[in-house]
Amino acid sequence: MSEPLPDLRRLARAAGLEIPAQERAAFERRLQGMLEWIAILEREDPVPETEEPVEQTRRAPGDRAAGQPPAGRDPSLDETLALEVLRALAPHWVDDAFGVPRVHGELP
Amino acid sequence: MVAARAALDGQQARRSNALRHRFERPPSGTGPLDGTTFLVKANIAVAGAPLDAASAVLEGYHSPFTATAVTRLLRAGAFLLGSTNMDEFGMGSSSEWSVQGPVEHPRAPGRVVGGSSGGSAVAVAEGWVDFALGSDTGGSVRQPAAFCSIVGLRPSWGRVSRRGLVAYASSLDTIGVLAARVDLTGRVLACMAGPDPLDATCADRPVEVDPAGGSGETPVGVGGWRFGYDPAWLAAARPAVRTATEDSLRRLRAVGARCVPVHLPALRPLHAAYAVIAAAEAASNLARYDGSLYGRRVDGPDYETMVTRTRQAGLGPEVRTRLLLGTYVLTRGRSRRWYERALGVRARARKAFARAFARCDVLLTPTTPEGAFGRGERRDDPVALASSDCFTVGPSLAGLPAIALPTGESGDGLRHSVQLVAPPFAESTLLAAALRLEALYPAAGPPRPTRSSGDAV
Repeated sequence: MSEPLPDLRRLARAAGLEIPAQERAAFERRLQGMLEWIAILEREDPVPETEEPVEQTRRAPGDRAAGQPPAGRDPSLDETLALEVLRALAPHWVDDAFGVPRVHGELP
Repeated sequence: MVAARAALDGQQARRSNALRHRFERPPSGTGPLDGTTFLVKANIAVAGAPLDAASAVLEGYHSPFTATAVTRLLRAGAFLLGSTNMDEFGMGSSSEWSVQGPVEHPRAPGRVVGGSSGGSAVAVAEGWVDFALGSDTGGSVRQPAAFCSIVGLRPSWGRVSRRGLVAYASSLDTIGVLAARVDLTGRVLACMAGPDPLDATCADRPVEVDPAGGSGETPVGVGGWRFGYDPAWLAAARPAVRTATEDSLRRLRAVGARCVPVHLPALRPLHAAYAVIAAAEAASNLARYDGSLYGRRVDGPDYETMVTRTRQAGLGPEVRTRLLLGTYVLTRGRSRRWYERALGVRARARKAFARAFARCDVLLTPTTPEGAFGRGERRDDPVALASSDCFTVGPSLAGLPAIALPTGESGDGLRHSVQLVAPPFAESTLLAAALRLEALYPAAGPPRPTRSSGDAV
């Protein structure tokens, strides 16, 4: 079962977009299709969700001592001094490079 | 060189809309690629050349540096002749979503060339250049290679530097190779692979990509090789594609290979997980296109208005749809339900592929579930559009190297395509297997181009 379609205007604003009124119906159809598609994850993926909620995948430089690499990052590529230094200097750059997306807050 | 220039500037190239920008960069050295010509997809940086990923939002932007992969190819003797048309930011499976308009299929009018590296595929299939670079996130090299009857290679994630590749989904993006034959594909990969101090995600592993095809030697037999296949994956393909894939397995068995049934991850959750992860990463990566740093800007009375106006004017419908989805699955309260669940599917898929490789050397699957579909058929249905990637997204999620190569004729002037997949960083194995399979289809490869009388040659 897919979720109800979110408020497109608010979602677009969170994405830094503005959907003109004349395009709204088309975008709602496209988004609805995508949401129905990803609902397969709940219907057909038999493994339960992980127990640990992740509210923020962007780490502050000092967080690395906790041990676990951010979700989505290949741990084998995560343990180099160069990365430690880079993360301390430019954590945004490192997370972008490894494909760790930023988690947004509430929809505006 | 003269012939390549003439072909790229000729009527057929213009009609196909496969080229994005014409510029030239001569080789900076000599090496294994001496005498070869190539193009790069319009999302790969070349210093001083336009770099727009076929998007209006990057209109007028010129890269200040050259991608590491391109630098290495120039150093190896290859001559660069320009960039190719593509789906905007690599989002699409048909090369219909470009600010420049769709790429036309020269050999199958009315059908798509595949995407997002569709321009690169056409340029190689038509013989305008020897090879082209594309980018492969969920199949964007392999799927257009299949639709244009050529070879398309996605290397392991981390095998080729991504410095200079416009980011779409960073944990999935790779720079790949499109060429007519496997041996040149291997040579190109060998030249551009390897650690790069300018890309911390590029693996510090030795370059073991001599496919024995790089040497031009005749491939030896397949005796002792184990090709794994999943009957459930074959069943998901259209009958003609399934039959063609079974024919490849039959030919391999006939020359002594073992074809081993294996259990691969279920396709539908895998594909949905890919959609979530790619959209989430795209929403994060493309946040940088706000009008303040790159390309086009539409002014407004305040920053927020400038950003929304710039992005509204500069980003096409397919990109905006994926940004909406990516933003949605990352909102607080939903990231756990969608994004983290997708990461779980990905982690389990990696394990499932690893288990499969315990029983075989390479996997063999169809590249796409069907042949090239009709132009415009799926423009308004992003889910249907993405369905042709169902076999390619799995290896992408697992970071595996994979290659699409043409096999038997499909009866419409094109060829079927199978995908071979190898364990991480086993490009040597992958290319060696591909050479052996290619040898079983001696007539395979793109039909030779037939240039119109109006074209200089």
